[in-house]
Formats: sequence, C-alpha cells, structure tokens
Amino acid sequence: MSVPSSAASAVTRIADGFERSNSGVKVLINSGPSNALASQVSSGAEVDVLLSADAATLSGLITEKKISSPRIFALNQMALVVSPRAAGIKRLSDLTNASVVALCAESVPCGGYAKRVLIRAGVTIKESQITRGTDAASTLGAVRFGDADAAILYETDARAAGKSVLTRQIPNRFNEVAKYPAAVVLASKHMKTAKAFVRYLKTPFAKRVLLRVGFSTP
Amino acid sequence: MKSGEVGKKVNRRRVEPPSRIAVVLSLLAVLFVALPVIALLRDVAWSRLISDLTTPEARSALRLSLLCSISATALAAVLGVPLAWVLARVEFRGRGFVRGLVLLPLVVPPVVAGVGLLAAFGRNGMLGGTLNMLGIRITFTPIAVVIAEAFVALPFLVLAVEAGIRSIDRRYEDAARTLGASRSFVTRRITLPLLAPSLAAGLALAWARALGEFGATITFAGNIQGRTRTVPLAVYLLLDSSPDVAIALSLLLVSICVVVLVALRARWIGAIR
Amino acid sequence: MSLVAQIQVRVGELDLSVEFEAAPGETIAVLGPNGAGKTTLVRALAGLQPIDSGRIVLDERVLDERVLDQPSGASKEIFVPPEKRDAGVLFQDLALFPHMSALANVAFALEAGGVPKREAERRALALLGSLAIGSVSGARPVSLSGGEAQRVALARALVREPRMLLLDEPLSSLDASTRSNTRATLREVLEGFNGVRIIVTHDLADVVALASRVLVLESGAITHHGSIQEVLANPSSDYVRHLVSQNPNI
Repeated sequence: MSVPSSAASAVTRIADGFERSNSGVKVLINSGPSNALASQVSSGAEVDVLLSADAATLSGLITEKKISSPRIFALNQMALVVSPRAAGIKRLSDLTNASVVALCAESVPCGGYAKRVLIRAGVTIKESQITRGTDAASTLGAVRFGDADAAILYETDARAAGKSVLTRQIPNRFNEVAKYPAAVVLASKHMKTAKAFVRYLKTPFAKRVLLRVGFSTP
Repeated sequence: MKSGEVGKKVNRRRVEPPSRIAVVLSLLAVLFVALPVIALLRDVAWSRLISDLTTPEARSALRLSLLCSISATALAAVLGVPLAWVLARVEFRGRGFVRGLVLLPLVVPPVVAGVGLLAAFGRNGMLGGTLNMLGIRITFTPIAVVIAEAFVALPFLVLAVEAGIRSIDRRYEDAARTLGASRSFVTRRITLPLLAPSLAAGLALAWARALGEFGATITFAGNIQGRTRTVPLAVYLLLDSSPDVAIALSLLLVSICVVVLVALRARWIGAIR
Repeated sequence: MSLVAQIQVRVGELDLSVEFEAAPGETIAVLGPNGAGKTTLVRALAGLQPIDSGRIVLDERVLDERVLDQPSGASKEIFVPPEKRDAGVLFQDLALFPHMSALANVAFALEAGGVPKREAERRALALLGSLAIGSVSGARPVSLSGGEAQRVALARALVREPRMLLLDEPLSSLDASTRSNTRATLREVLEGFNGVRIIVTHDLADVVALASRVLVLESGAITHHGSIQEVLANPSSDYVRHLVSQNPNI
C-alpha cells in the first residue's frame, strides 16, 4: 500500500487495526510524496492500494485505467508553521520579510496547495527566499531542524510538530482544503483485501485515528 | 639488485590471454555501469535538448553546480593535502584514529552528514550563536553548498594523496638535500612533481563526488533556486514536472564527468596502483 | 680540506662506532661486508642520519656534534642539515630523479644553490660531456644504461665542486665489463677532485684501483686501518683473509 508521507503515521495505525480485524492479513506500507507514489504505480510497481494527498496526482492513472475510481477518505487544511526563532511572523503577509520560507516542491500536492493559498492571499515570495522540500516531512524538517523561518504545510504536520514550532492559523478565505483520495490498483493480486481496506478507511475506528491526528473526514 | 646493463626499455612482452570467466565478468561489470547511461541516451528528447538545457532553471543549476563543485574541490585540497602529508609522514599517537575520522564522510549517509553540518553550523547549532553574532548565516547560501560538497569529497582526496605521498621514495628527497636543496626547494621540485599524478587523481575523484552530492546539500544548504539548487537537486525536483529536462540535465552532468575522467585516466591508473 | 670523524650511532640492530681522519688528496676506501654499517656511515657523514654522540668536522667546520651530558648538566649539540654540508653523495641506487632528464638532474644541484637555470644547464652539460655522456643529456633516467646512469649520478654529485665526495658502492650494480670502464673513469675523476674522498665498497678490486688508504669496517667497528699493502699483508680478521683468498691476483 502506498501512502503519502503526510498521512503515513495515521494510516499505519489504521492498518494495524485492519490487521487485527482480519487475521492472516499483513499490510506493507510504502510512503513518500504522492507524485512519486503515483509514478511507481504507473511504471507497474506491485501496489494494491494507492492513497494520495490530492486528486490531481491520480488523474493520469485514472486515464490510463490503472486504478479504480477514487474515494475521498480524509480532509486536510494548510497551516503556517513558524520557527520559534522567527516568532515575528504572524500572518501570511509577513512571509515577504522572512529570510527563508520552506515550501514543498510544486509537483508534490502540499506544494500545489501552498501555492494556491499564497495566490489567494495575494502574497508573493521571491524565488531566492524559497527552499523547496521534496515532501511534507523534509519541508517541515527545514523549519524544525534547519534554519528556515517558516513553512506552509498541512495542519496535521503542524500538530505533529507540537511545541517545536509555532502554528499560525490561515484564515478560511485563503485556505485550501486538501482532499485525500484512496483507490484500488486494478492490477492488484489481492483485489478483495484491497477493496476491504478502502472500505475500512471509512469505519469509525479509522475516522477516530484520522481526527486525532488533525485530519477531518468527509 | 640490478644485474648488468639496464638497457633500453623493453616493449615487447608475452601476454597471457585472460581466462574466459574474467572476460565475461568484466563485460558484465562494464555493462552494469554503462546501461543506465545508455538508457538515458535513449530517453533524451533530442529535438528539444538545447532548449531544455538552456532554460533559466537549467542554466542556473549548471552554473551553481560547476562553481560550487570547483570551489569545494579547492577547499578539500587546501585542507586535505597537508592532512594527507601529516598522515603519511608524521608518526603520532592516534594516527589511525584520525585517518578513520577523515574517512567518515565516505560511510556516513549524505543526509546524515547534512544533519551533522546543521548541528554544527546551523543557527541553532554549536557555532550558530557565534556566527549569528558576527552576522553570518551559512545555511541556504552557496557557501553551505561548498561546505557540504567539500565535506563528502575530502576523504577521496586525502586517500589518493596519502597513498601518493607514501609511494614517493624518500631517497629522492634525501638525494636532493645532499645536493644542497632546502626543504622547500625539495618540496617544490621533487615531492610535488612526483606527487602530481596522485594529486590529479584525488582532485578528479573529489570533484566528481562534489558534483554529484545531493543529500548533504539539500539538508544543510536547502533547495533554493539560484542559490543552492545544484543540478542533482534540480533533477530531483524536475523528475515529475519536467522529466525531459531532468533527463537532459542528468545526461549533461554525466557527460561532463565522463570527459574529465577519461582525460585523466592515464595518470589515474598510474596513481592508484 | 680535511675530515675528522668520531661517530657513534645506533640504527636498528647496528651499533656503529668509528673514529678516523681523512686528508685532502687521498681517497679512503671503507671496505666491509653487507650489514657492516657502511651505508650508515655515509648517511651520517652526509647529514641524513644524526649521530648519537661524537663529532664530525670538515675543514674545521663542525657538521655534527653531540657530546653526552656532562655531570655538570651541560650538553653540546650542533647539527648541520645535509643541504648545508657541501658534500656530494653518490648513492648505491643512484637515486636519479625519475621525472627529470639527465641534464636536469645535474643542473638541479646548481639550481638548488641559486644558480639560474640557463647557467646551471650550461655547466651541467659541460660536465656530462667531460664524462663522455653528453649525448644522453636529454634522456630520462629510466632509459639510460647502467653505466650511463652511473656517470650522470657522479656528475650530479660533483657539479657543485663540494668539499667532500661520498661514494656508496659506486660500481656494484654494474656488470663486469661496464664496471672496469667506469672504474677507470672514476679513477680519473677522483684524482682530479680536490676535497676529501671516501668510497664505500665490498669489492677489493675497487679498493685497490681507487684508494690509497683503507678502513675495514666489520659489524660497526673498524678492524683494520692503513694503506692497502699493510692491510693485505697482515690480515687480522677472517673477513680480510677471506677477501684476500678470493682475489689472488691482487
């Protein structure tokens, strides 16, 4: 099963629950940025279930008829994550004065969402101020461990980072809702189990896990 | 012991043909290395090659890569040659330990090395307070790229140069001194020229390593267009959005390396013997 | 120009302890078997091996002096490094610089002393010519024959007109015919040389042909000292007796 890194810890716990409810089933989780996961499936990697952080990444696979029609299992929002060192940054417009802002690469879902948030807020950050992370985890790392002043990341990441960073809310009118789809890979050799897992993502247990981490559910 | 006349150099030697197994394995080895390169050649969009390589992003990455890798090699040389000298010539307690320490960047995963560099030079790092006071920030600048690349390239240079120094027969230096040459004259006219092949090999290896560095760079120097986005970082980012440009850039980098390494191969083989 | 040497030095298993003098115009041969300490002696005189105690004085200039601590606590130590000793050394394995031509090898000695390159090469070429090897001046050592290389090394040691000439087994690596040719050349060169001459060898023929006085060195100590006739006429060690019996025609 391929899972975007922003949902990896939550989905791992959900998978544990799935294994407990279905004896004999073992779930192997491969995580990474959604675009990389999608290309792996496209090149024929043996994946049964594919989760993604946005629907756009899956569009190619849908056209190629490699996956079933996806169902949204979780929702995420963007947040402004700020390093304690740069506490002066309180809102998106402050980012123009930051020395370095970390954003995900544009081809990664969280990068695309961040870009749209900035466009909505009418904030432009110079290229020479932006450091691009290859996925949400490394982008967060740039603020937590590196010297980046701030990042635009998922709520769930901000929550996971806890007290090591300052989290600023992004006003709803600027914010983007990230929709996480789940799909069964049509070449799967374990079709029944795969479909069962996608259904499992909607169970109360799964929803509790997602909510606890900061996702919301559709 | 030389016996009789040395005579002119003998060129003809009876050479035993290699065993079949050796040939097969050698071919496999060559294929192993060549296949990815050949595959790249196949995937290149030849018609768009020039335009792909001359986009502002590509040019910026290329310029940054060349400037930083050359600076990093120079830094590694400045630090590494004296160190190689000491390791080769000076007996001191803990010499083995120091040598092991210098080889550390070879075995440490590059990202881990990057984390280490952050811990040392980042704003929250060991030297962070001091640097901050001096108004210097290293991370997210080309300087950080140079430091990261020099860090991973240093062991290659030290290894090659130390081996080279060890292989210089001391008797040449002794003879030179009995002829009236001061230590610096000996170094300049005897030691360094004899060291040249090993030094060249060390520099080439170090430079190639610096050029290809990814993990330490992206972790320590970040990924900023025009400042720290070297070709390997650019390629990684472009893999999904513009795979053609990614491949074109990759091929260019490989070509540059091949040209340099082939040009040096004769000296190289002589040095790492 | 004269040499006064009292040398005690320990190198590995060898304890070298010798005392001798050399006057200008005479060639002294140091004769001994392998391991006797001949090369150590050459290195000590050349400055490549500091002595443990004793003194080396050349032309009243102290090159090396180490007097063991007196009861009063004072100790005297003087060490002149090889480049300042003004000695020409011909090493057993020649040690010709492999990355330079024969001419450059010889010119090196002059350039090290500050002579400009052109002048150094001119003088070097002249010397090579006088040794009948001017024709190979452009060749690298690796392509020289044994005899040619020998002469280049000799030229290199001589070109600065040093005060002391030290030759370590100059002929042992040559085959018989080359050896006798080179020996003849060497004899001429030595006779024309003004300073102290010390030649180290295990070959009695060299001693007879080239030297006027001989020191027999065995296991780090001098067992015989005198003119060749004296030493051969009255051998007082097995080694010399052995040599004499091996060379009946001398």
